[in-house]
Order: sequence, then structure tokens, then C-alpha cells
Amino acid sequence: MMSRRSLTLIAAGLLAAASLQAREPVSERDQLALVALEGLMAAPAERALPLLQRTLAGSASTEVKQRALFVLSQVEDPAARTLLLQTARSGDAELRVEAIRSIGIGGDEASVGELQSIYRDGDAEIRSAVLQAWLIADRPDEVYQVAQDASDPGADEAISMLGAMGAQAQLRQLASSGRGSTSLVNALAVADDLDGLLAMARGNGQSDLRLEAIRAIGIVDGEAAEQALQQLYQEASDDALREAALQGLLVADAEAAVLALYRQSNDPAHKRELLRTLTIMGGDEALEAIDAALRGEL
Amino acid sequence: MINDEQLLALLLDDSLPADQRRQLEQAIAADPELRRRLTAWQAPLRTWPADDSFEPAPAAAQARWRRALAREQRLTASSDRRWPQGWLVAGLATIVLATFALSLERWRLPPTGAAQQPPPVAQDSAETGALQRGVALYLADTRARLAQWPGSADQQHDLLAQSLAQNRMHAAAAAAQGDQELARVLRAFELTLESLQAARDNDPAAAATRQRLSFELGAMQTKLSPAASKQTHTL
Repeated sequence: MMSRRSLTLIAAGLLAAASLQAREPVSERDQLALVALEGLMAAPAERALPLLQRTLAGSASTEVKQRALFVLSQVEDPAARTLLLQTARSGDAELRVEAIRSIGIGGDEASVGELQSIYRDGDAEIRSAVLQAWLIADRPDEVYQVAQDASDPGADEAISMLGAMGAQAQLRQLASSGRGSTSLVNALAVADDLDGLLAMARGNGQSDLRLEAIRAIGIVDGEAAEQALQQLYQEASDDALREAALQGLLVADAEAAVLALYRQSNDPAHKRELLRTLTIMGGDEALEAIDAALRGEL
Repeated sequence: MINDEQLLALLLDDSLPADQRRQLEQAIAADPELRRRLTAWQAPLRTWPADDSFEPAPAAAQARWRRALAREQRLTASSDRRWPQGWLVAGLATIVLATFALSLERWRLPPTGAAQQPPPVAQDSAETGALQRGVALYLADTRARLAQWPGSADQQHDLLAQSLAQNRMHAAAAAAQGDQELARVLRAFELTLESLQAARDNDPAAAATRQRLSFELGAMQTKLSPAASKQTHTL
């Protein structure tokens, strides 16, 4: 399963790259060309390909050429793949980025594999585009190769992408190799990997990362995550761990679990904190607890 | 005989050598029938981007999205008092997504009594057809919404949140049905929609990204259209 979670961090990078695309409004001539290109999507490959080749080789605007590259990604023909690779390797930076993206969309095995050398030789923008293409093409192994190299400046972005891809196996491999980082915690959460996060939360790593892992469990779907947070709260050996578990429960909107902890707790300070959390949640359970507290029953 | 390929080449401007282009323009100027055919090619431009020929999403789907958004707003409001917003945003995104994942899982459940039966080929085709029709509807819907880009930040956020939710649902369905080609395109759209969500108001890069997305939605709509043909036609 691929990309079911928020890709906000990745998208922020994408938008930064897109800032290059900010330009004057599309001219009428370009608009006509765009309509024509759209029409090519319904044309057979042998008809569409020569037109796309001429468009890319001609003096059309960068925007029209970018759109032509997208159409080219949908043409099932070896010549189309060759042209995409050529464009991805050299020339105008904006077209290179678009060609790399189009290779990901096209999904051709050999072309997507060729992106490794383009990544190696590319600058930051090209490397980011290649990572996005691998995400689009659902190629976690290639992304992992970047993520596991701590010296690679794209490693953090690659880790985030593994999370977005739900690549739990690769993320756990990173965690077990001692690559503890905020990016990894976030990626594990985005990938819904409760076991991976619990291993970090209960491990012997840096205390900050342990707290982040506990909070991140709140992002993971399902009752098991709520139960894990409840347990972490109960077994917490200090206030920071307890607070992190409570934050996780708030993020998970686990009112029933917080109410259960509230009822079980005998510590007045903890009870106050739990009741505050319930009031922030604002659900039926919270009202029940507030009512009971006012009546002095709990 | 001037065919549609040559007319398309003319519209693509630089894809024809100058002398051929000149000849074609002269021929068009002299021939009313050719002018009519060229106008027919240009016609979609006049209706774009004000194309409202789409049908809205089903009422049940809209209701689910509204509930998810209302829940998100409630939780966002209640959380501002304490903890770093990043955690809440991520959590809320998950809640919204969980709602859709749940509805998707329900949708994918086999009919009662058929749980262990491998689906017949004909059923696969029917499901694939249904998926493509659903995606085509989503593409048209989203393109029309982008064309009527709202002025307020809240409305923009709602529009993008709804589009993202639909996009994810369709991408998951495409992957589940083994339509990797469609799944890849929808994943690319997801990245684009996410980048729009991350954009600040009035960001010129965001406007360019919207234009690109609008084109790609339309292009895929054309590709999925029942009218799309492998046959060559001459105008």
C-alpha cells in the first residue's frame, strides 16, 4: 500500500521546487497548445509521439514542453521512454525535473532504474525530483538506499518518503541500524508502524527521541495504539514520559482511554492533568468525568 | 487532404516547419471547411476553465467528507491551548484519513457468501470499469473546482482537503485493483495537492502548480474518456 498518509514535508519541498515555475499567465497561444496536447491523450501512440517529439525539440514555451512531458509519460513506446530519459539527463533544469517526475509516472522499470545515476550526478533539486519519482513509482528499495546513507544530504527526505510509502520493513531496518532521528520517528508514525515506535519508545536511545516516539504513537491508527499509550502512561517512570503518553492520547483523541486512566489514578496531580486533558477533548466522556468530579464521585 | 494531425501541429505552434505552417495557414484562410474544423479543435478552450459539465460527488461521500472536516476543525480548535500544532495537524490528518480508509475497506469487502470465491474475470472488468468511471468523475470534479478557485483561505483549505481525500481513496482503490498505471498518476496528483496545501496564500508558485494540475486532470480525463480511441481519425 502506498502513500496513504500526509506528505506535507515532502510537498513543502515540491512547492519550493515549483517556485521556479512561477511565471507570467499562460499566453493564448500556449493555451491553444495545451488544449491540443490534452487532445493527444486520446490519440494512438504512433500519432502522438512525433508531435510530442517536435514540440519538445521546437521553441515552444517551457510550460508547454513540461505538459508535453506529462503526455509523453502516458505514451507506451520505447522512443517515448528514451526521450524522457534524455530530457531528464541534461538541458533546462525545469524540464529535467518534469521529465524525472514523468518517468516516475510512466513507471517503466528500466527508466526508473536509470534514475539512480541521475540522482548520483544531480544537484539538490534533481535529487529531490528523483526521490519523488521513486515515491510515485512505488520503489521503496531505491529510496532506502538513499535513506541509509547518513552522509547523503537527501537522507532525511528519503526517510520521510519511506514513511509516506508505508515502507515499514525499510524503516525498521533503519531503526535497527541505530539511525535514530526525528525524521525516522515521524516516518514510522506516518507508516502506521506501532511496533517500530514502541521499540524506540522503550529502547535505550536518546531521551528526546523516546519522548517523540511516544507522542507519535498517537498518530498511528487503531485501538492497539491507544492501549499502548495507556500502558506507557501507567508504566512511566517520570513526568516527561507520562506527559508524552498523555499528549499521544490527546492526538489519538482517545477519550475512553484517558477517562479510564482518570478513574484508575490515585494521584491528585495526575488526576488534575487527566481531567484537563478530557476537557480539552470535549466529548461525552469528558462531560461524564466533569460531572462526576463536581459531584465528588471520582 | 489536411488531417487532424496537421491541425494539431498548427495548434502546437512550433511543431511544424515554418514553410509548412505558412502553407497550412494559407489553406485555412482560403477554405471555410478547414476553418470550421480548426474552430472545432479550439472550441474546448472557450469553455475552459468554466467547464461545469461535471456531476457532484455522491451525497453520501460528501457527507462523510464534511463530518471528517468538522471533526478536524473541532479538534484543531480544542488543541490550540496546549501542545505544538504540528503534532495535532499530523494526528488530525490521520483521523481524516482513517475515516476514508475505513470507508474504502467497507467498499472493498466482498458480498456476503462470496468471501472465499475468486471473483470471475467479468466481475474484475466491471470493477475496473467502475473504478475508471469513478476516477473520471473525480478528475472532472476536481478540475472544475480548481477553475473556481475560492478567495478565502478556509474555502481553499476545504477544497484541497476534499480533493486530497478523494484522490487518496481512488489511488488506494487503483492499487488494490492492480491498476498500477492509474495508481502512479494519482500518487503524483497527491504530491501536487499536498504542495498546494502547504503553499501560502497568493503564492505565484502555487498558481503555476494549480495550472499544471488542471492540465493533468484534464489530460487524464481525456485518456479515461470512453471516446478515447486507438483509431486514427481525419477531420
